[in-house]
Amino acid sequence: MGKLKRSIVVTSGKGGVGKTTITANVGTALALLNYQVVLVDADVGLRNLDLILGLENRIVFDLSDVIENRCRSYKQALIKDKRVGNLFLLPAPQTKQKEDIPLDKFKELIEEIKQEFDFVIIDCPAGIEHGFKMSAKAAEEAIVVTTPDLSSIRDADRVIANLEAMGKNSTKLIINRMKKHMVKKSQMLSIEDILETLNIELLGIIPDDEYITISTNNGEPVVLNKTKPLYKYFNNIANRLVDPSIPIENPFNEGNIFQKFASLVGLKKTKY
Amino acid sequence: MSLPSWLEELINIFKKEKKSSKIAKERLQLVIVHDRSQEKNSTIEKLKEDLIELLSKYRDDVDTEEMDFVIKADKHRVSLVASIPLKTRATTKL
Repeated sequence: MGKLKRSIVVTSGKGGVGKTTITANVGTALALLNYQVVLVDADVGLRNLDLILGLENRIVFDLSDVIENRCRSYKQALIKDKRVGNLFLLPAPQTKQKEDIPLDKFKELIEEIKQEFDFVIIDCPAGIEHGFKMSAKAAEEAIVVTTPDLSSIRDADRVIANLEAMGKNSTKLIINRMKKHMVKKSQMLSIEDILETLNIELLGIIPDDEYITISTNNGEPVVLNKTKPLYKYFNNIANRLVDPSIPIENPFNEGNIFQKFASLVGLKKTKY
Repeated sequence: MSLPSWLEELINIFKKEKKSSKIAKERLQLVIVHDRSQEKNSTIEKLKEDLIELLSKYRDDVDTEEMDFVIKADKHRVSLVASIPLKTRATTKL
């Protein structure tokens, strides 16, 4: 079977909205669906993807070793995830500056990796400076992550404009940390509010869940545990990346028993 | 002592208090429209330049300094609202 050869940057503008957690979990979910996946940590100087994936003790070479030819090929720097098999991490250097990685060299590297894998997912640093430009220019597709907070949505809008200026037209949105009870009381922006404001295609929704903290503590992506509520949301995003016609897993559709029944018999259609 | 949440909700209905998500949405859309209009080489800026050129073919009194373009969004549609003032005074016959 031919490789999908897709390169995707996960970005947000604002920091702390869950880019790294989403990269780790969607990447792991794709690997569980039997795709060959490489996760690239582009947050040079402030790496964390290794920690979320629980691979921090296995790093020998990093991104700058590959760029500066200190290892034979990028393959030597890839860390294979023993739990999943076809999931690999290319870690960011911890003692370098973002500007130390030239834009064109990074793009060349991503192109090279892409040829042998289904997905290369780049975890982009916060901000719209060098690290963002480097990651965004190297990837063909982009995912923007936002939470329902005003500052995060505003920054997401700037990032979307930046991506458009780079000629990327298929940018998709993940809304992270939706608090159902607050939306119901109109104390938090709804999915509709956010989409109306940003005017962008929705890829998926992740509800707020304290279990993320525990999974980070353990260095084990949530999706490795199929019994956890968040599994289906990350898995849905992974599936929708391959087939956009799959409906979005909407936490607001869970509702009460009547609504569940209605959606079961097809009376209530998912809006998206 | 705090009130039970259902009672709070009920009071809010009678107080006709604006829901905070509604306030958030209005504030957010305002800053975003502003952010977008500030963008260098934004399509709006280009449109403005082209329109000035076009308008000047027909009128020589377009007040280009005061011209304003904004994208407004409501529930149903997104629209481009243009305000093109003329230097000719309102009392003058057009």
